[in-house]
Amino acid sequence: MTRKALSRRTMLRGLGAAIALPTFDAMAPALRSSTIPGGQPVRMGFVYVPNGINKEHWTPAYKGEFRDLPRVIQPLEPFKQQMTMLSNLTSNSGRAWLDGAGDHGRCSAAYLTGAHPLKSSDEILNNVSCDQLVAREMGKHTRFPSLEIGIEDARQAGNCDSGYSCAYTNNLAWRSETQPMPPVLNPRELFERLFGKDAHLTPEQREQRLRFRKSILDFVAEDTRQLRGDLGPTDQRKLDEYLSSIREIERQIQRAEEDNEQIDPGLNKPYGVPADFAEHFRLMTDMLTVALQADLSRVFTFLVTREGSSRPYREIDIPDGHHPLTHHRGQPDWIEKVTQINRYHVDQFAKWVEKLSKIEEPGGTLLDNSMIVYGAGLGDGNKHTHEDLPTVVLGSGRGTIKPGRRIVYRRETPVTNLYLSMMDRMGVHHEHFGDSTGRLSDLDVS
Amino acid sequence: MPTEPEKKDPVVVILDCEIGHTLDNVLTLALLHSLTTSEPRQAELSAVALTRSNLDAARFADALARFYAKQYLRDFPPIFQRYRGLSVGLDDENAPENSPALAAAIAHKDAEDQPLFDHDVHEFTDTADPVALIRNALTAEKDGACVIVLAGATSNLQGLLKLNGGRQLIEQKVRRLIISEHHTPDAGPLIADWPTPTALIEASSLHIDPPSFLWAENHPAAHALADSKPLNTTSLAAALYAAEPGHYAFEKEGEGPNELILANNEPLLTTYTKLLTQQPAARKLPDSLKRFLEKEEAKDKKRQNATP
Repeated sequence: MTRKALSRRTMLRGLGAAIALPTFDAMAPALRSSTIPGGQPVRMGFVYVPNGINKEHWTPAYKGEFRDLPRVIQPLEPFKQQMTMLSNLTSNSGRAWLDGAGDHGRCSAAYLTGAHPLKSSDEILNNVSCDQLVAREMGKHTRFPSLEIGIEDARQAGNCDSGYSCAYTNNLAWRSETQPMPPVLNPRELFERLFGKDAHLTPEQREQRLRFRKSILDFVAEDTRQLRGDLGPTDQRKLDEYLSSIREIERQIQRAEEDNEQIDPGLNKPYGVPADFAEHFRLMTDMLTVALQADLSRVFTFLVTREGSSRPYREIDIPDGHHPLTHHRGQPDWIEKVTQINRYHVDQFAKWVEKLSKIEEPGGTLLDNSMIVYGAGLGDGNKHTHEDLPTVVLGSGRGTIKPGRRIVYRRETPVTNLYLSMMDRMGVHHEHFGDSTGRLSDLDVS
Repeated sequence: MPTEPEKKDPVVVILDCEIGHTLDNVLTLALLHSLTTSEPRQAELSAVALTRSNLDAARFADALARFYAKQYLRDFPPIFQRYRGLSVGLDDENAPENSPALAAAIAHKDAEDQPLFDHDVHEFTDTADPVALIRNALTAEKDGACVIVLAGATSNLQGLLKLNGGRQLIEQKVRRLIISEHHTPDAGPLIADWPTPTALIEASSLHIDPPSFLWAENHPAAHALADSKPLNTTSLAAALYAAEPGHYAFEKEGEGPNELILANNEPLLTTYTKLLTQQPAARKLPDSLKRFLEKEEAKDKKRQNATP
């Protein structure tokens, strides 16, 4: 049987909607002939949590191959063979230098840039972040050079930390030294960004869609029927799973908007956003998964909550603000609450990692073909340290990283050395980045 | 050319030495800690990098720093007595064992069989890459505030010159490089390539007996030098020249940015001994910390009263 090679750019189209497709086997010949080196793309992403992480329950007492995982990171136990923990990475640019207070503003500004930001609440100056250096190249192959998502609503102007602009604490990605990339927070907005808005429809078409509450999928039904005939059984199954994901996400959004009218969480709730943290996390990452699957983008940053966040976590019965708790001064009950919040974040992340680990692609799974850094810009939230940043990398970068272990580097090893190594694996080579002193050794598969 | 900061700021010193290779550098390190903990502060030792040394030397350097810090902060509440300095830089974990005296010094225990001296260097990864360390230390200082004292191999500083942005950082932050010729006889190429003024301390003929640190029942340096012969003072001169370049006993030769300093005059021995044996001052609690502690005490009382 001869399989027709599907173009990687094949879309399902209909009535103003367009849906990209995941990687099918039927695309393999076309992929190999594409400009993508080696065919299957590597994805690079950063998932950032604020206020540091309780090291006592994050750092194993051993190095080398993983054994039992400490409490905070324990939810990643099923995926520890696809995980690498990196210890002793330092963000010297996050330190005070001569600028005094403002560790939160500095640490998030420096996290992906390796630069010491200008201390100002109305004039921002940083550096291009490593994800954007990669995005400049990847954008030649994908619809979106990068995706920036988040959960916590945050302003972009004003003073957020001791004279540092909110632009520093509320953004991870920087397109230029003065242009942060604000994360998309609203799931509906992300969905429309990825799959198209209906603004160009005629009023009659729009009304028709609303009246009958048509799924976007219904508008591409004809294209779907035609495509199905060209696919083998495995690809047909993939297509069904993929379209089911999109339909499920649509339903989740509708459900969230209905729920919003009934729930009073006791705090100001952004419009159109799930009240529940876990639901919001899941919704955003489900869409991100679809985007990665369909190669809409290969680069992303996820600012889980903004640096310095004082969000309470009533979902786990913690009504106190996150940031104040991290200044626990050794009080055991406060430390316990911080640990629970840290673990709660990892819990949500682990659920997403599980999904990534089940999506098969040429060469392995979507997780295998990714490098997703989960970490924080502060080492210790109580002491505001910028060394030994909590850092794990999920995925093996398409077999270029040897996972399943903890690697301890020398103190003062710049975290930007990691980024240089990751950029290499994305095919983007730079001699230096930020305050780097070289590449990270020992990451490679030997 | 970096401009010198205001006179009231003590000079910031970065020490790059080889205490694992020659014990006289132990006194140099102790002198700089003594200057850092004096009142008024005569210098500020901000980072220590080692060459031709090993883990025992790194442990000793770390232990000595914590020892002096503990003395300096002895009037602070225990929770605020923690050491905040940078890690020790070590160039090579495979340097031959040459520091039995240093290892023995920090292995001393008290009557309860507990270690007398704290340190945080248990394996090689507990030390820093010296080039990154020195670079990071410089970024934290005002322009022109730093002096680097070199009493060992030139490899760390040559690495800093080659590092991206390293040369520019040196030009901006380092007022002078001071070199102990006794420990760095091959300093010529480094001096030629260095972008800011230098001072070469000619190998001194002066030697000093290990002093008695009478203010401390147990002093790491005293233990390390217990069986030592008289020690060469060239690197001590380099450290003193960093803090007191105008000391009357130094003789200067030549003009221009690269000085040659002679340190053979006997009065220097008196100065070294005086500075080495002075007890660290007890740092006063800053007003901001006092106010913070008072507020926290009030909050704690309120919390206790509120608890049924």
